[in-house]
This record gives sequence, structure tokens and C-alpha cells, in this order.
Amino acid sequence: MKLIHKFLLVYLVISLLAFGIGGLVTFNIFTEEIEKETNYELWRTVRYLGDLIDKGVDHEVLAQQRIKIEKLPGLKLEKDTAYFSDTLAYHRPSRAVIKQRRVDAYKTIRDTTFYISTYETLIEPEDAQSGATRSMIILFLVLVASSLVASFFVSKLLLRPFNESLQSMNRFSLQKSKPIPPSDSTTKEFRSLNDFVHKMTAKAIKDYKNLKEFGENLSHEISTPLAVASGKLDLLLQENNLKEEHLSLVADAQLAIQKLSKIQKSLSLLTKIDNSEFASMDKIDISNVLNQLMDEYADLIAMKQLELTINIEDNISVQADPVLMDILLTNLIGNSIKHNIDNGSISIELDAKHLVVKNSGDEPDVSPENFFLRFKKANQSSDSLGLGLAIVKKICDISDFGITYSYLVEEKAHQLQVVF
Amino acid sequence: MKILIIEDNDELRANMMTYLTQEGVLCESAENKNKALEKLSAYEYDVILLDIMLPDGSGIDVLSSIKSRNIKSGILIISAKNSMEDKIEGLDLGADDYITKPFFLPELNARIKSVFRRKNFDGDNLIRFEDIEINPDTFETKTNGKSIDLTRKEYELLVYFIANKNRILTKQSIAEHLWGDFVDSLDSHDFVYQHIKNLRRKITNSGGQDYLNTIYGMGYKFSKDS
Repeated sequence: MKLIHKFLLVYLVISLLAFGIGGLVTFNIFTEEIEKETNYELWRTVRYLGDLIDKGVDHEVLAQQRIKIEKLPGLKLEKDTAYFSDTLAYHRPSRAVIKQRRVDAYKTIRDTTFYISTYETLIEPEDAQSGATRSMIILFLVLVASSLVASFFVSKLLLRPFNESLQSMNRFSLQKSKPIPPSDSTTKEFRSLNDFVHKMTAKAIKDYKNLKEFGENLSHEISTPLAVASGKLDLLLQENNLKEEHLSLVADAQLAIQKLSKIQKSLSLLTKIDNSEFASMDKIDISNVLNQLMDEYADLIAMKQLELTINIEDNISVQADPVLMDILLTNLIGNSIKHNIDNGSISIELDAKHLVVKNSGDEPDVSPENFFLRFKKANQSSDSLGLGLAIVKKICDISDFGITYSYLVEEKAHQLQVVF
Repeated sequence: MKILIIEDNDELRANMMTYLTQEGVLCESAENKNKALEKLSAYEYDVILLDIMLPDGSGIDVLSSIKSRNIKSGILIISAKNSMEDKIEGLDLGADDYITKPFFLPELNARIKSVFRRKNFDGDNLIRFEDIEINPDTFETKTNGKSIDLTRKEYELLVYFIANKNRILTKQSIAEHLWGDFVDSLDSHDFVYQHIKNLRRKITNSGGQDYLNTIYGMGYKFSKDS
């Protein structure tokens, strides 16, 4: 539910209460006024009758159905008095006995006191009530309608800065390194919200840049000391008087340096892909690239005595960055050789829609969706870095390819499928 | 062979100079762009090792200057950045090869020799070691004048060994030479062993002498005396 609708709902519920009370009050004031007016009218009638009697009209002539006049010879009043009360009487126009207003007045005319009584129709209370209710309902409906119309414009106009902020937050991307601009809204709340978002995104971008720079610097600066260390070990190896156990210490140190350097290279590759440093889109004949790769690693496959099934259609090409495509294919083929078992098998299929690389292997202990995460390995004790598939995934993401991993239990094989 | 090493890191420069001097290479060095340009205008070198990141400028500038002055040295770029653009730019500007830090010194040595061979058009281009003779243009390999049929990897392995003769080569350095980045966790030891075994067999089968010495737990050494 939109905020404006909630506002509207609350507003209308309160209005409904207010209108109810308002209707009641209106009705009361209304009837009071009418009573007052009717009393006044009745008193005027009494005075008029008094005047007529004063002029000599016989009071008995004046008396009729609604008017009662009696002479009260013994009564002396200092002042004329009138008592008003409600009475029930037949009302011809409505053909019913209804509540009417009645006056009982004692008036002294030429030293004689007369009792004059008459009654007059009030506006019927039912009428007044229904009138009040009806007008309240109409007013309420007008209010609802105008509120709906107003809310539409309000949300369009007043909430525009808010919606704009929301949209720019949705579109915000750290890579684009453009903070959300501060708003020029005249609404204080929106301005402070937007200022906050502006500051926050600017800070996030700064932090991200710092982090990126840190990563880049680290990966760059680390390579020279690694080269120095590795070179020193190379030189140490050539010393003639080293014993076997010393040689193996040197070899282990070399191995560690090599591994460190591979991690650094892979991470910096991932960063570069993230920074879209590989953005070129060329038409690449992957059938060709794949065939060359298979030639290149034929010796490894043969040495591991893997049974190779190749089904590569000719002239299949995709739009991608050539460097990334090369890395993608190398990693896929590499994995299928590395994570294979002795006398296992590899099957590679390529057609216009997919590339499927299948290789025999034991079931992984890691769940398939974690396979594409950095440093996740099927077997944590394995020697591999666990970055290969993270790179593969990233390349697929950036090239708009789909990639899925599945373990085929019956065949005891890992299957990676790239959908172009 | 005379080479100029342009590299700002003292230790790395010292490593390269030590290794290459032991190979009988005449080494000079420059630690920044200005020194390098100075040396280049005064002397001639067969091969120039060029670091891309220099304290007073980019190695790419040095490269352009070398090319504009028509200096005929072979150029091997050394870069800390494993960046494709640098590589392509360097090779486009006329560098002969590109190596990324960190590297194995034997690998650097082999690359320098290969660049030198490619540049040295006039001279005798054959690679020789005792009775082994390799023609890098035709990939033809002979022992005692008899041709041996080697696969590409075996050929690369033999050239690598001869470039670093009398040196201990670790299995990692051999694996990286043969398969590049591909080897991160390959059972490279077994693979290297297989290739060595085949190479050894092919050489001895054709009557050649076996110069491959196994250094236990470590690697191999190609040398006349075991």
C-alpha cells in the first residue's frame, strides 16, 4: 500500500468520525434554532390575538381548532406570561400525529386576563435528522472524491523528489562512481534524506575506490618482491655445495612463491574484469580456439590416460572479449583435466547454443552453488587455488553467458554448461 | 652477448645480473629512464631488458625512443602488471617478448637467448650442446648428425634445458615453461617426469648421450658431467 493511500485512509477514518459528531451537533443546533423560531412565532400569534381582542373582537370568535382562548376573570397577573411545551397533535399535511410546539400564555388585556393557547408544527425531527445525515453524507463523499484527486496530484508533485531519490538509489552502481546528487527539493525531510543519501553514496564510492586501489597496488607491488625472492632462490639453487635436504627446502619455498604469485594474478584478473577492463566485443570463432586448446593440452590428456570425446561443431562464433574467452576456455578445459581421475574421461561438446564440458570425478563435498565462489574447492585439501571457477563465472556474467554446474551421479561426472 | 638491464629494483637487478653473468652474458644496468637513455645513446646492446614501471617515467617511452633511433637490439619487456594492454602495446611498439613478474631466472635466461637468436639473423643460428644440434627455424633436432623426432613439448623442453645448461631446473619452472599459467595445480611433477622420460628415451634411442641428471626431490640438470 502506498504511503499516500495510508495517509488518505487514516484521514478519511478521522473525517468520518468528525462528520458523525458534526452531524449530531448540526442536528441539535438546527432543532434548537427551529424551536426558538417557533416559540417566537407562537408568541407573535398570541400577541396578534391579544391585539384583536383588544380591538374588540370577541375572543370566542377567534377560538378555533388550533386556538383556545379563555377568559380568566378572577386572575390578576402582574406580567404576561407564556409557557412553551411540546405536544402531540394531528398534522394534516403529514396525516399523522406528530410532535408540535405549543404555547400556553396568560395575557392581560384591558384588565382581564386571558388564557391563550395554540400550537404550531415544528420541522419534523425525522426530517431534520435525515437532512443533516444526507448533507453530511454528501459532504463526506465530496471530501473522499476530492481527497482521491488531491492524493493523486500530491503524490505526483509533493512526493516527486522522494520518488526521484528512490529511482536514483535503484540505479546507483559503485562501478559508475557517480554519487547520487543532493536534491533541490523544497521539502525539508526530502532534502535531508537526499543529502544523507548523497553523502553516503559519495562515501561508499570513496571507500570502494580506496579498496580497489589497495587491491591494485597490493597486487602490483607484491609482484616485484616476489620476483626478488624467487630470483634469490633460483640463485641459491645453483650453489654447488647444497645438500639434498637444503635443495628440497628451496624447492618448497619456490613452490609457495609460485602459488602466491598465481593467487595474486588470479585476483588481479578478477579485479580487472570487475573494472570492465576487458570490454571489447569481437566475433570469436570458438571452434577454432577450442581446437587449438585441445591440441595444446593433448599431451596432458594423454599422460593422464583420459578418454577424450570431442564433438566440436565448426565455425561456431560468439561475441565476447578474445582475452576473456581464451581464459574461460582454458579454465574449463584445465579443470576437466586437473580434477579428473586416472583413466577417467573428458567429453567436450560445442554447438551454436552451448558448450558442455563433462569430466569424470568424485562427488564434491561442496554444494554446487558454492562452486563459483572464490576459494571454494570441491576438496578443501586440494592443491588448487579455488579461483578458476570464480573467474569462469565472472567472465560468463560479463559476457552475458549462462553457466550451470551439475554433478551427474550415474555417470560420476562433473558437468559445466555454458549457454551463449 | 651484451645486455642492458633497465630495472629500478636493486635486488631484482642484482638477481638478474648474477644469474646472467654466470651464463657468460655481459650485463650492464640502468635504474631509471634517464640513465637508460644515456647508456643507449653511448653503447650498443644485443638485448635490452626493460621494466615498464620506472621511477621517472614509463618503459614504453624508452621503447619508443629505441625504435625511433633505429637501435637493433632485441627487447624483452619485464612488467609487474599482468596487463594485456601493456603486453599488446609493448609488442606493437616492437618489443620482442614480454615476461611478467615474478618469473624464474632460468625462464628469463631462456627468453633472452631466444630473443637474441631471433635478432641475430646473420650469424649461426643453431643451438648446440655437445653432440646435440637444434635448428630453431625448422625445429629440427639432431644428435650425432642423426635426426630425432620430438613432439613440440619435448622440443621446447630440450631448448629450455640447453639454454640453462649446467643449472638445476625445478619441476615448477619446467612446468611453467611448458604450460604457462595452466599448471597451477596440475600434477606437474608427473607430467614433467613423463616428458623428461620420453625425451631421454628418444635421445638415447638414437644413439645420443643422456645429459639429463635427476636431482632428487628437486628437479633436473642438463649437463655433461653428472
